[in-house]
Amino acid sequence: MSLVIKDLCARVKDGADILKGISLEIPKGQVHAVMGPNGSGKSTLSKVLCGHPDYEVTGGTAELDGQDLFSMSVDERSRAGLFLAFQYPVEVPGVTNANFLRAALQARLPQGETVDAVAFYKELRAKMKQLGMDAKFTARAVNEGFSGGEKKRNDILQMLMLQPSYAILDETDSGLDVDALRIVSDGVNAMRAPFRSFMVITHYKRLLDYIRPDVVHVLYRGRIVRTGGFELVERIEQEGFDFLKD
Amino acid sequence: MHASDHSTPQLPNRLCEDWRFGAPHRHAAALAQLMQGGTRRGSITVEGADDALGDWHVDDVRSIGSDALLALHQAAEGVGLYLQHDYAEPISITCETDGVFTPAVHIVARAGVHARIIERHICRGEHSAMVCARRIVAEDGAQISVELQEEGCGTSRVLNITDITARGACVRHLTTHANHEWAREETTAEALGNTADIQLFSANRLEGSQMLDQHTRQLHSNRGCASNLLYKNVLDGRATAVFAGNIYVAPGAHDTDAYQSNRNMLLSENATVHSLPGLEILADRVRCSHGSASAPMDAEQLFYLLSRGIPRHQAQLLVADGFLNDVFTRFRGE
Amino acid sequence: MADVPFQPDTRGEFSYPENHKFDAGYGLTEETIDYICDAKGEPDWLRRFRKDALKKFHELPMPYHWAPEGIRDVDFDAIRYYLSHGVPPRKSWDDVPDDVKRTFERLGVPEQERAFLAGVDAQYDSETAYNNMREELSKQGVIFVNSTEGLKEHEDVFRPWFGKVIPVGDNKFSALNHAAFSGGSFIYVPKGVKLKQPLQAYFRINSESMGQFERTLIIADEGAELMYMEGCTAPKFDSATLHSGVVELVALKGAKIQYVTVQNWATNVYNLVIQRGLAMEDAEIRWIDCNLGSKLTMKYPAVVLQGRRARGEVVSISLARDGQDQDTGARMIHAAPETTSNIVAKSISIGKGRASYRGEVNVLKGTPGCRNNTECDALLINADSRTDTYPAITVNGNASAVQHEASVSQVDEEMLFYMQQRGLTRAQAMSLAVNGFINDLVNEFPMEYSVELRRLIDLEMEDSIG
Repeated sequence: MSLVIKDLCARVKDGADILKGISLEIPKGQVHAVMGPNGSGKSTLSKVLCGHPDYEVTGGTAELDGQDLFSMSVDERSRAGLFLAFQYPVEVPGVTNANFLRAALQARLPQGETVDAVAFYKELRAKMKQLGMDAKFTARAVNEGFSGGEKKRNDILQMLMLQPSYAILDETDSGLDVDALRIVSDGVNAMRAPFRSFMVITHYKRLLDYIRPDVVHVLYRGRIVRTGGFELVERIEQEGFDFLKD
Repeated sequence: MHASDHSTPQLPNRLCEDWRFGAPHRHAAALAQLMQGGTRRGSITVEGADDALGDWHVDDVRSIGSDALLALHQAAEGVGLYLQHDYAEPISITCETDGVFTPAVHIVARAGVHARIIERHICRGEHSAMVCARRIVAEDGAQISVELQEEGCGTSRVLNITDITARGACVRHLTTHANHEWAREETTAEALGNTADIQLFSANRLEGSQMLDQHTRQLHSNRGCASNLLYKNVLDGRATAVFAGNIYVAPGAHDTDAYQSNRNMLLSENATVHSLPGLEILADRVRCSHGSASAPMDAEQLFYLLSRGIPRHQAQLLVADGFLNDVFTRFRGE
Repeated sequence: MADVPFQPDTRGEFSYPENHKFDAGYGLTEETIDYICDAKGEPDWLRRFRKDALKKFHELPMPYHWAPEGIRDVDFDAIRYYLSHGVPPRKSWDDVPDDVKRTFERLGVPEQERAFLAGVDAQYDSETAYNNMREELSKQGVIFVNSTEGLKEHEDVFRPWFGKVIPVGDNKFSALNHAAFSGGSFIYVPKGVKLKQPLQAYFRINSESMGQFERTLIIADEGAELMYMEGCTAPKFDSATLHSGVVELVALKGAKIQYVTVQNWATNVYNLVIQRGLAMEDAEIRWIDCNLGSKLTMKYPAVVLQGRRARGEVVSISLARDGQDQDTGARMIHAAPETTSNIVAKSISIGKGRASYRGEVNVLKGTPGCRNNTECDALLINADSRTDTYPAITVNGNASAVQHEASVSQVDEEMLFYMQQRGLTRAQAMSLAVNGFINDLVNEFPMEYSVELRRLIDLEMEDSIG
């Protein structure tokens, strides 16, 4: 069981090609880091996998536990176990965090079953506490008026609640101070399990010091140009991405 | 803004500035016919306060283009509330009809009174109609909130002519419409005294071929008052929404704060919005702005919900509800 | 004194004695039209056309929506509809009648022509006195003549578009112009020709009770680009004068037209102008509009976005002083998918001046992907100044986005105090503040104009407050 991407090509709708043939496999239980300079296609990769309407796939395949990802709608992919922690989580005015999460959980239940409100709130409060979030956030609209760090935390809260089998973290470390970074990383690490895998997209080593990856990929100009272990992270930290230019 | 020169008001036609969009004059003609024709029937019930019987009148209610309809109204039944002390519990007023009904609602809040009124207008019968003349007066320091819920039966028509006067008082007013074929609101709100604060809200979901025709005037005659308006609609199907608002700051009404915002979310290719937010400023040191935005549902918001596994239809409902919830939150002052 | 550089009198508050060969007298009748046609030597079709338009003019009501109350005061019978020296347009200033030449010299027109213009059309009362364009442009096939000559010499290009963007029966003033038009420019820029320097028209009213009805048609063929600038002045008389021009622009596929107006009529001029452009696929039309003068201006430059991805823009500045009513704005009709438009309007009301914004934005059915953004800001200088905003926005369908924001504000007293503490007079400080308020829009004008514009605004401010 794994997330398998083969020769994936994608572009901005009616625009430039961004992904130019990406292949990688993330088996269950592993954490893969994807690093690369700005504009290399990291965020595009995450959005394409989730089915963002601004992008179109021009070639290649992606399978989630053997299911064709690209034949599924955005919400079907989510319910199939794919989760994206957004680089810039979206504000949804007027929809409270609690209602939002309940709707998302409800959508995962078989027809006829409903979310148990008491259990839901109990779990929600516990997870919020784990992430150091104030209980009053439940009644606030999703991400509305949140600081950058609060939004990131809120996305991780959703991940803890929805328990995906494949989670993509898109630059979750940006905008987080050291304390918040540790709290968020602890939350992610607590979820690491043999039946779950992660794709951690980042520029920096500091997040990967907390969330140690099993495999590291380097994305450059729409292609994966290096795959290796933690030594790649250390090289990038010392030399930057310049060595890729050769 | 120009009053008719004729002594007997004429029924609205297409050339009237206030009856310009979405061919509403044919509904006006239909309402006039209904009022001239059959008997009027309906009921008014009040809970939580005493009806100060006989102490209501709506003769001088200011309309926005419907003087002729108001002349036909001849309120046969009405309710007059004279609020002299605080009310801890909400007062409820219900007007109901299965035919043609022309009630009058007159609420006077004396100085310093705090009260909350929930007013429901229900049209049950096929092609039923209600024309309601409403007057709300709040004296010095009073704080009242009035929530008007309009419920129709799909083929009903309603016209609410509302005249609010806040004299150094705070009035919050919210309207919601559900399921009328045609609904028109004419809301005149005048801020008097030096500290009056008027807050006008409306939140509506329109679908099918429903039409909502809303006209507002925020009148600032004295200095130092505030008024605020937020009207939001979500439109689906072949629904049409008209918003024609005006803020008038009279000469000498300096230091006025007046805001007006009309936001529409269009969900269908056949939905139509006409938005006319107007300002007329004749005073000094005025802080005044208006905005109007009409747009589809935000694609990024929708994507965010979808990415969490919420099915598309439900995600759209959530985003649309969220768009309107904002109005309720502000009405409650949160 | 010889060292003092020439300072043009751009406010134009002077006049010369009348010296007309043709004078159609007061009022507009069929006889007036015959007089005009005879004087201009026009063909029969045009005579019939004018008479039909006259009928429409009498039939049509004064605009009942979308109009300032002040237009009801216009007395059409107290206006003179045709005044001319009876001299054809000259290509050299030396050949222009002396009083006319001196007028334009005082206004600084020949000087501007030498400095930065590709061509000039100077109209004095009803007719063009001077029209000239740089030779290389004629060789490229550019046509720049007055409307009379345009209809005579270039009927095949002119007539198919004549009255097509703004039809005769569009409204009462359109009919009036179709009946009485004289002067104005006809411009054709051939495919792919891009004019590097602007063409300019200057409209001058010199005579009392004059009605000036110029008619301008600009056609930019596929991929062509041009900028056209018009300036207007008149001396102040005891009786009202009327300026009711019609300007039609046609930007064919990929063409780009910028139309710049600096209107500084005397404060007894009714300035009731219709300006509308048709933008085809990928074309762009920009109206850059500044209204400083007139008693009443009623002008809402429009763009009909007729072709996919067409763009329209209106940048508008207006200044209303005592006794002035500046009723300006913009109209954007989105008649094709993926069309975009932008409106930025700023007005300043001083003394008892009244500035109004009227704007129409209409996204028609079946035109997805349209965008409009409108911003109107009004600045009130005195306690009895007035400002109004009357937008009318219609949006059909769920694939277009329209946004309108407007605000009204005053000059910040703290800011004035700050500047006064540094030694500026209150008028100077106010003038700086006003210049700051419209600075971003003034920068949209060509440099030569923006300098002049700032100077004019300074003058108006000093007169009003100083």
